[in-house]
Amino acid sequence: MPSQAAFRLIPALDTYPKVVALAQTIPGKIVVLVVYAFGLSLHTGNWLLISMILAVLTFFPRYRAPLLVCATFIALYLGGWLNFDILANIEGGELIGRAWFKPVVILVVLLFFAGYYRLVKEKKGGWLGKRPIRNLILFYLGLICLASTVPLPGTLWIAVWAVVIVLGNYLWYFTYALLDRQAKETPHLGVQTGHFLPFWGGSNVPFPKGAAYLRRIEAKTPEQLAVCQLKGIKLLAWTLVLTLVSGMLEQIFYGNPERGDSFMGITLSMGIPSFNSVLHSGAGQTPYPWYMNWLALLASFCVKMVNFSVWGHGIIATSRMAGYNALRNTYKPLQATTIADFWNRYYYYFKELLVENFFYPAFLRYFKKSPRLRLFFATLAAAGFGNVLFHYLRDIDVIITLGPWQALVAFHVYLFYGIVLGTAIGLSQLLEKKRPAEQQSWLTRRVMKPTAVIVFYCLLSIFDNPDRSMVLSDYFSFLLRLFNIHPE
Amino acid sequence: MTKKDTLRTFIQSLLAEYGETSAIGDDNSLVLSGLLDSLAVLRIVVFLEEEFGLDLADQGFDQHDFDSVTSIMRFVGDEGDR
Repeated sequence: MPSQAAFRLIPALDTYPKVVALAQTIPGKIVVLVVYAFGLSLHTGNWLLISMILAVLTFFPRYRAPLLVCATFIALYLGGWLNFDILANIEGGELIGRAWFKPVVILVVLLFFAGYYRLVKEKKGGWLGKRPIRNLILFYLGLICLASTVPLPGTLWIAVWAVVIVLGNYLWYFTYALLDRQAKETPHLGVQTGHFLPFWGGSNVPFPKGAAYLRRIEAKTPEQLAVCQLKGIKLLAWTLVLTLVSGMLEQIFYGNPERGDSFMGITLSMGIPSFNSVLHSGAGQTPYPWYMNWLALLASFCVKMVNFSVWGHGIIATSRMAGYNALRNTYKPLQATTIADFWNRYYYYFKELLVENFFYPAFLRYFKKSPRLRLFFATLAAAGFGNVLFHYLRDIDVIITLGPWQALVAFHVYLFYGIVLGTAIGLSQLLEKKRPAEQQSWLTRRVMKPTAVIVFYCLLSIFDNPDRSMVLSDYFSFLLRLFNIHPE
Repeated sequence: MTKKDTLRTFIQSLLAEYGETSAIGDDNSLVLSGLLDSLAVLRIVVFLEEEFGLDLADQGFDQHDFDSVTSIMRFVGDEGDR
């Protein structure tokens, strides 16, 4: 009889030899695809297209690379290419409605990068070849400044900003391509376009990393593909469980009037106000009691964490079904025992992006004589500078609306967030002692350390708010209200 | 002692710190297998800089290139393979 410790909510299908063998047969593949499609239909409205692509990739794994290129562009086309809504209401905005416009802009951006990539590879010893990522980012920033300051006629203005938006979407995929340019596993750049904004989804953060990494984790035999796909099904099942958990938490924390204040028969609700409500209840309004501020913050943090896991798991599950045995984006964040460990567990692929694009270059170049300063500076370069730069460029609509400088001013709260986060992770790494886990008590390892880490991130999350209209003092005011201090 | 021996000794001591005391082969995976983490990779980098005078700043850096003794030796150069 299996012990309680061996209980698994979702069976480890990928470790059952008979299931793995079955998943390699044609009927088995069909079952795997149907099961996944059914699960996906409960997760996303885009399930049918994704399932069809997965079916083709499953039956023709030898042609995975070219099929992935087709799948990615088909998904982009059917998804309306990219979002240019911010340009639609501006003079000349009707241009973006033309059927040819978006594909042409994408083509222009891809051709530009192909030229840049070739130049970088040819001029290895030159200034371009030595620092290609820094130069690409500087070029992008320059393009933003140019588009913001040079007076252009309406149509040209729209075209330039459209290029900026598309280049921004591709930017971190391009940096991975540049990072991978010397790796022996890197495929031709044309093949890599299948990994740029891939059909399995994501954001400006490449999931899961670049082409060389994908080559390494790709299923190379029918057995590996079967195991990989079964892992995909397991992760999707876990995603659906977490979706239910998220619904239940939202019902219990906030109630849900849109669903008749009930979720799956649960009518209990603590009536906690939303985080935005308590955050904005500053001067001129009756403030919430301090404990309600805490409840709102903790509830918001919990729901955000679960929803974030759901989002990342859905993407990785589909990439596994496509034959890439990728690590989860979020993995047991509540078990983190250090600030650095939580960051690694919470948003793995963003952390990897920052490590590869900012941490390693800084670590390899600066403060080589001072090991502790070297590690701290590189961490600050990644978690602080890189993190802030990524989010600043990601919010391109704010830049278009306010201009680059005013957008930076409006971004000052996130700047503060990045500096605190970078400093905390840096210190966490410096102070971390390699002490075997078994030498720590269960209470320390499983309760005290994780709780301290969660409280830190929970408090820091106050400053990780997409509302750019508030200033730093508003957030500090809320921080003080958590401790029942009400500044005038 | 060849460069490869020096490197192997260092990797073995690093692995011991991570609780892995058994001998590893030159082609055994260190990073992708989860035996070593990214901080350990940084320590290997520092070791290569100090011991062999390598400067990796101008090379494309991928921590997975440090996945085995054999792959690390590619950075060190042919001499170590003698």
